[in-house]
Amino acid sequence: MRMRSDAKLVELARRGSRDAAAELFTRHWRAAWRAAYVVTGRRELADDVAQDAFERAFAALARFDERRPFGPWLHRIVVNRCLDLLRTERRLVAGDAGLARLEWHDVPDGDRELLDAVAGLSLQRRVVVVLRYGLGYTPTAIADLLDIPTGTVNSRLARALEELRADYEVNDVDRA
Amino acid sequence: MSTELERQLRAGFGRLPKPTREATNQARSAALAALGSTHRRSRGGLLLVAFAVAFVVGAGAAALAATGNLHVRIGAVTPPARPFPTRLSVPAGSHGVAVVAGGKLWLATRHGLRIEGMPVSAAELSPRALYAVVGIGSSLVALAPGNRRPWVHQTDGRVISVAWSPDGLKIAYVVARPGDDELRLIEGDGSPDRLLIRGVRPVRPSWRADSLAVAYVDERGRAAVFDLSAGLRRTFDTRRCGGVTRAVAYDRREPALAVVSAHGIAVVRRWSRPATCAMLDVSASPFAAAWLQGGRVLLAVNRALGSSLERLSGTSLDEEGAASGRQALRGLAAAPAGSSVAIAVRRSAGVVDIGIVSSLDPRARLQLNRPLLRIRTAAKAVSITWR
Repeated sequence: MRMRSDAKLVELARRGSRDAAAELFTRHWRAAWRAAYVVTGRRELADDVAQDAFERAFAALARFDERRPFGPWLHRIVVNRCLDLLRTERRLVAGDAGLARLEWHDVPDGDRELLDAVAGLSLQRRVVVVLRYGLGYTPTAIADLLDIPTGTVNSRLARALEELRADYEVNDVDRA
Repeated sequence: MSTELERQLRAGFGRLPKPTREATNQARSAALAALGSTHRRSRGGLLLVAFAVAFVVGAGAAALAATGNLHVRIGAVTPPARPFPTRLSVPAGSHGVAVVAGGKLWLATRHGLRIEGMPVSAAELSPRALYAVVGIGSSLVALAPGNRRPWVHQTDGRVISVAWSPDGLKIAYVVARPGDDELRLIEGDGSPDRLLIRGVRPVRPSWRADSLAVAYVDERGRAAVFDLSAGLRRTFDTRRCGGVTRAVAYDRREPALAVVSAHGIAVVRRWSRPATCAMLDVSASPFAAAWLQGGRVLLAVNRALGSSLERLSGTSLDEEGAASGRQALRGLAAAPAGSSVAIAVRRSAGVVDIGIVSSLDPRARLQLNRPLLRIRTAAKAVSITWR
């Protein structure tokens, strides 16, 4: 069977096809959830954020510009919801490091330290790293998605990698 | 050129765990429910419908006008219906109200705390709504407006439900743990936390009026009370009164406990005496109870064809009247003084209305006299706190 494009599914979903909307959900859910998981560092928050992003996206489907791809639009909502939630949390418990606790329980041992290092990045850098290496966007696409100049994306990426390299290499030395 | 670190990042992200099936199913339902109102007919379809309607109306109007039976007036004759609020407001004479549905919180207090659509797992207002305590992931967080000190407490699992004691000094909460959910107690200022019971159901606890005992549902589905002063635990088996316990609610004035089971309700006043029990017909599915002024109990019941709020005597459980409606009920909370109730009612697929029912007259039609909030949610249960 020929796979229908996102644009076709969006069009059908806007006409009320629940099957098309469900297919759209299935196609994008895991990537959206994983992006939320790396940015927030907690399963529960990833569940909440990814669900909330889909609810908002589907509720706003009528206003969605059909000429644009669905994925980046959804990921933009995911990222914004993550940022909103983490900023709210940080504001509510200012100065308390408790909420920064991360839960990589079900992540392979080898990846845990890498994710810890990613989680140690500032929110802005963490987001571009997730979009670049987790979701595979180009710097230009990230710039478009976050509504910032491409130069800023490249600079954030370069600094993030620099920071990660330093952090991760220190951990490597520790492990050795 | 791709560096080793970049390769590791790509590989690491590729090996990330998957969302759970439960989270996936819940998100799919919520997302599809949100889709509900976005359906748009095609332009061609709309034009066709508009043309057909115009033709029928025009033809009918011409015929009626010709016979003198039609009088045309330009402009609205009846005022449009007041739109249902999408922002929560504080009901007159109360301190605040909080609603949790589908993992989101709406909250408004007289002291200026306002939250709209914040992802939480549970929430509760303090007795005078000066604070709110919410479950965010694996944390219990107290929020407050102004300069009052917020606090956060890390828990060992997701917070499922919260109940603030009437004296404002203690918070009982249920936390999800693999195998055995736990009922725990923490002071109102966020200091020491202790385990009360391991092995409880994810049902909202209810405090006795003196704040010295808290009711919950144990893992076998029995209503139970933990007496803090004596360290005693008592259980009440509702299997003889309608099956497994669904909800517990203490009267705010007396030590009387309403126990809602799958097909009935019981009121326990003294553990040494038999409880009063009332069974409902097999089509009834009660899910919550609230205490009203004068020691009466209001029972929220869903049926295959509608729902009802049944007013019962708090001593004999005799029915004193019922207000019925066609839509399913999703939540119930009594006003601080017990003079009215707030309910959540399903309006349409994925839409829930929350409002106040002030007229609890027998045989009245169930309607929201004062709308409070309309939300988009597929949630089957809505938790309401009214202070």
